[in-house]
Amino acid sequence: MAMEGSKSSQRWGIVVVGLAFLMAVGPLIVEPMSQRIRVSLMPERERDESSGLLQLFRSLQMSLADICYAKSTHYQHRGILYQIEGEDILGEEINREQNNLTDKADEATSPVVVPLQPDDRRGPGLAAADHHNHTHKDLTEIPSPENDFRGIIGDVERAVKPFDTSHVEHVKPIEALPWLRLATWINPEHENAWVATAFWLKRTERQNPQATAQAIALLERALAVNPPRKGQPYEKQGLVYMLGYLYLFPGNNAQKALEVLEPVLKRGEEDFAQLDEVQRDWLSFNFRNAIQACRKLKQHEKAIEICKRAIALFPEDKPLQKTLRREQQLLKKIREAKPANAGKQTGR
Amino acid sequence: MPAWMVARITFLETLRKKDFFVLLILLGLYALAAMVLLQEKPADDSIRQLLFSLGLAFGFGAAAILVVVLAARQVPKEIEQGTILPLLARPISRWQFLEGKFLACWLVGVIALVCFVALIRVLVRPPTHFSEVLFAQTIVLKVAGLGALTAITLMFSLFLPEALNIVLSLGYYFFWGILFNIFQSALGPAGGTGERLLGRILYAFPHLEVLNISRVCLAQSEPLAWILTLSLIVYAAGYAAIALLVAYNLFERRWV
Repeated sequence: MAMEGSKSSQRWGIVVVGLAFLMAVGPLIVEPMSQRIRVSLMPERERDESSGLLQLFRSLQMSLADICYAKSTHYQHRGILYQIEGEDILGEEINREQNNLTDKADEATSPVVVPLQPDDRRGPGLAAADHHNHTHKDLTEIPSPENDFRGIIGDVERAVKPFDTSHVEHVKPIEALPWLRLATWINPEHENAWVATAFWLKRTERQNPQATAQAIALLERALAVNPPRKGQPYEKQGLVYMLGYLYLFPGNNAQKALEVLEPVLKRGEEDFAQLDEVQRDWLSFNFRNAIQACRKLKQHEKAIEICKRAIALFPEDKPLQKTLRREQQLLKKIREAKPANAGKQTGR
Repeated sequence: MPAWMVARITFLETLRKKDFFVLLILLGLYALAAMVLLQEKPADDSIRQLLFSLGLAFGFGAAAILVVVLAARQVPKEIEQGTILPLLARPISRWQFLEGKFLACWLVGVIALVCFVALIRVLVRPPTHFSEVLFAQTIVLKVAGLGALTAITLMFSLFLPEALNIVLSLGYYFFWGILFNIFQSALGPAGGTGERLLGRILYAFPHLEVLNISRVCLAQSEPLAWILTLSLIVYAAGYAAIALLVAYNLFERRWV
C-alpha cells in the first residue's frame, strides 16, 4: 500500500498540510452549523424546545438560580428561616418606599388639601399601602393564641419555637448580595434576583458612595441581556421599574428616568392582556414613576396624559386617581399664576 | 483482504464483550419508560418532542461512548496480552492492523447507532413538522462523526493510558463545542493579530459537535443543503484520515 511505502517525514508533512487545510476551511464549514446549534446561558424558549437535554439543563439552571434566590430570602427575612406567611420583605420594602416617595412628592408639590373619598379615610399613605399590600395579614406559621384552635399543643409550640432573632448569625439583607448576584449569573432572566440585587446594593450607599451608580450599571446590564422579544410580551417590567426608580430618586435624573420608562409603558399597554399579575403590578409602579418624573420636570400635561393612560389600565387604583386630581390642580394653579403662559409646557 | 480480516475478528470479539448489549438494554429501558409516559399523555406534543429528543441524545451519546470505550482498548490490550505478535507475524502490515481496528470499532458504533435510533423511532412517534430527509442527514452526519471519533481515540490510545484516553476523548467529544464558544468569547470579535491567529488555530481542532444536528432535526422541517451535508462529511473524513495517519506514524516506530 502507498501508505506503507512512504517515508515517515512525508506522512507527517501530509498531516501538517491536511491540518492547515482543515484549519483554513474549518470556519466555512463549521460556522453555519455552529450558529444553529450554539448553546447559550440565556434561555431561548423557541430554540430550547428543540433539545430535550437543553430543556433538562434549563430546568436545572432555573432551579439553581431559584435556590440561590431562596437562600437570599433567608437574609432578606433577617435570618429567620421560616418566613411569616404571605410576607415578602423585598416587595414590602419596595412598596413602602414607593408610597413614601409618592406621598413626599405630593406634599412637596401640592399645597392643596385633597379631600379623601369615603372609602379612603385612613390617609393617602395607608390607603396606597393597602392597595398594593399583596394581602399581607401578618399570619404566622405558628399562630398566636387568639388564632390558634389547638389549645395546649399550640401553647407548647409557642413555648419551644424561638421567635427571638438574637441567635441568628446573618441578619443583614445586604449579606444576601452574593447569593443574588449568583442567581442572576446562573439565570440572567431572573427578574426578582436582579431587582433585589439592585435594591439591596443601593442600600449600601452609606458604606459605599458608588452604590447607586453600581446599581444603575447592574440594571443597565440586566436590561441589555433581557431585551424585548418580537412577538412576546415584555415581562421584565420590574427591571425597568427599579432602573427608573434609581434614576428618578437617588440619581435625581428625571429626564433619564422618563426616557427609560416611556417605551416600557407603551409596551405594557400593548401587552397588558398577556401580562400576569406581578407584571401588572410592576407596570402600575412604572406609571407612577413616570408621573413623578413628569412632575419633577414640571410637565404636568404629560403627567395627566400618562395618568389617564394608567387609569385606563388600572381603573381601581385609587392612588392613581388621586394623583390625577393633584396633577390637574397643579396645572390649574400654574395656569392661574401665569395666565400668559397657560397651556404651555414648562418642563426643562 | 487483511484489514477486513482484522476488522472481522475484532468485530466478533467486541460482540462477545457485551458492551453493546448493555447499552441496548439501557436504551430499551428508556424506550419503555418513554412508552409508559406517552400512554399517560398521548396527545401532548411537547412531551413527545422531549422524549424523542432525549432518545436521540441518549442514542447518539451511547454510540459515542461505545466507540470510544472499544477503540481505546484495542491496541493497548493486544500489546498487553501479547496477541499482537501472532497478528503482526502474519502478512499484515501495521497500517492494515490499525485500519482493521478502526473499521471494526466504527462498524460496531454504526450498528449500535442504527439500532438505538430505530428503537426510538419505532417506539416514540416523532413530533409534527418532522422531515424524514433531515432525519436521514442527521444519522449520516452522526455516522461520519463516529468515524472521526473512533480514529481520534485510536490515535490517543497509542500514547495515553486507556482510562485517560476514554475520559479525554469523551470529554472532548461532548464538551469541545462549549469550550470553543467560551474561548471564542474570551478572545473577542475584534482582537489583535495574536488573538485572531489563536482564534484560527482553534479551528485546527476537529469540531465534532457540528456533526450532531439532532437539534436542527427537531427545530426545522427543511433538509440541510446537500453541499453543506457533503462538506461536513468530508470534514469528518479529513480528520479521521489525519488521526489515522498520526496513529500510524506513532505505531510504526513503536516496539511491541
